[in-house]
Amino acid sequence: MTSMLKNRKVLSGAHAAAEAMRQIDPDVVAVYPITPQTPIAMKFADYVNEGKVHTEMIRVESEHSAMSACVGSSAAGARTMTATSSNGLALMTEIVYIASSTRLPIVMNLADRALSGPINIHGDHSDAMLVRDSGWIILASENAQDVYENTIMAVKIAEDKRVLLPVMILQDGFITSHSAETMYTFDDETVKKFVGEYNPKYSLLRTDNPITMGPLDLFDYYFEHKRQQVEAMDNAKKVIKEVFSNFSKLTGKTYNYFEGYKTEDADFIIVAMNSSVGTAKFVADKFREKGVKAGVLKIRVFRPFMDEEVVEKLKNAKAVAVLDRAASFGSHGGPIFHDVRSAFYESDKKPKMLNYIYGLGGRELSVELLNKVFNDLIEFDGGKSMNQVQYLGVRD
Amino acid sequence: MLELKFIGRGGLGAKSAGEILSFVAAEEGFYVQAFPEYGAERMGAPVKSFVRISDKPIYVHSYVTNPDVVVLLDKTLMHAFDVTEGMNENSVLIVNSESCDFKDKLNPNFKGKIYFVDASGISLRTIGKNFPNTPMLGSVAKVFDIFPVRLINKFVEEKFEKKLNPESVEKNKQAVLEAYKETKLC
Repeated sequence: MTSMLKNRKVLSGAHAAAEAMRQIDPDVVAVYPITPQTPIAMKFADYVNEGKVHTEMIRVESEHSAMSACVGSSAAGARTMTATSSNGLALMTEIVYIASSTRLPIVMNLADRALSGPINIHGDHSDAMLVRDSGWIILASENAQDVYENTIMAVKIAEDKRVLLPVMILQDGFITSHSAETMYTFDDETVKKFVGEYNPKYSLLRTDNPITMGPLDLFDYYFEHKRQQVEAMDNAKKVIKEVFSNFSKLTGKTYNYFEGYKTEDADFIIVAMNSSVGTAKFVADKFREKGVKAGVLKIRVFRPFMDEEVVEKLKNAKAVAVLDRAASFGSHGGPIFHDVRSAFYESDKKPKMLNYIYGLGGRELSVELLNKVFNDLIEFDGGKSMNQVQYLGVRD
Repeated sequence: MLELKFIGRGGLGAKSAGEILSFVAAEEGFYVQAFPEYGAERMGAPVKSFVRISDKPIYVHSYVTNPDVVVLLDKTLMHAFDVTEGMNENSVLIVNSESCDFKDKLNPNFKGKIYFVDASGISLRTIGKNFPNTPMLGSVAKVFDIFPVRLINKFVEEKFEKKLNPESVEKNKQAVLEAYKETKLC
């Protein structure tokens, strides 16, 4: 099948996000700069300045205001996008929850960066985990190509009338956002046609159908509205699959909640999210050369989390390592480990499972460290006793 | 897969040099990756940037630890750390230097090939300031014919045409050509 991804480019993850945004040509972008997100906003500002998009760009005084402006514009019926990182996301979190509970299909790129403190500018997933339960759909990106494709798909997922939820696209700060790599883009027309014209179901500006958004909602209806939000996230499970399937027709690739790399016959599997997936694939190939059946499971959709699919993809492995680039203080292991392990509770087949907390504050995930993970899995399967939760690459 | 590492100081253009090289390789149909090692960047602080070039898609996203090529933009960094770390007898070191007088400062275990070029001198002569990154690209072209000088200068132009005036862009291209001619084996 021929792919419509015809234009070969060398772009950073940040510029891949900006390129997708240029082609989507949203009505409103409200954004405040923060490292390592800044090159997304800077590049998009260039497009606005050069007249390459019709977007009204709102330069706000903080991330709290950025998300507030997004809520306002999305409620008015405008296709709305933004981007942030780390403490910027922390500052906007109050409004992040309001965006999802008001059912506003805002699309936001997040260049993942460690939350303070101590202050740090580098990539880890503590910012994404801060808003894990905010009711946003969360897509993860291995590389610049994924950032580009996820951003385009996000618009269709968010705006689907059965969903109407905001979508966040993750990419690792610096490792992806500032790394230039070979990738392929669509022609502008292809993206324009795929995302289509935005016809909002509700708009505050539509005087023929006046509505109220964001009123006080006490014990009379708050619970029902939250229940509907849960329902919308459940609906998203089906809609995301439809969007994946439609997008496949443009790219010739297959998309899933969890994408296996050599997992079908694998004895030992690493589960990872964002850029570490790529490094794990590289290491899995080296183990394959040595005759070890190694594989990698990439998380493309973190929320909603599709339990059945993760079980299906991992159940035949002998041992699995779940990598978490965030800590969950006071609980057993990291957030992704909680999800994967919990998904297996009802399953008859359960692989042995280890959890590795790694890469906090941008600590390098080297090939050597991932060699250790696969070697650990082999030894663990062979009967060696091990701590179920380990810290990879830390000075102990 | 060919893996390169540029070692310099903040302001010398290690990041830009790596990117330009990746654009050249991409133009020739290779898969590429170019990224800097970010710290808290300051003018003058040691800086590294990395380039990977392959005929297959590149999955690995960690730093380059066993470079095939190291381009050293400032030889005084030899005093700070082992610039040949992770290299082997097939690796190539290209140093910004007027002569080979630095050889005894290198790790004696390094057995690879060493080239030198007076990139700072060329830069001062042509551009008028110390920007050794563009001339060092000419040296890389001399050592590795997969990077044609013509393409390097095409992307030097693309990279700098927004930042510099046309005259400065031409001077940078001139510096690339001169370094190409003057690069020598130690």
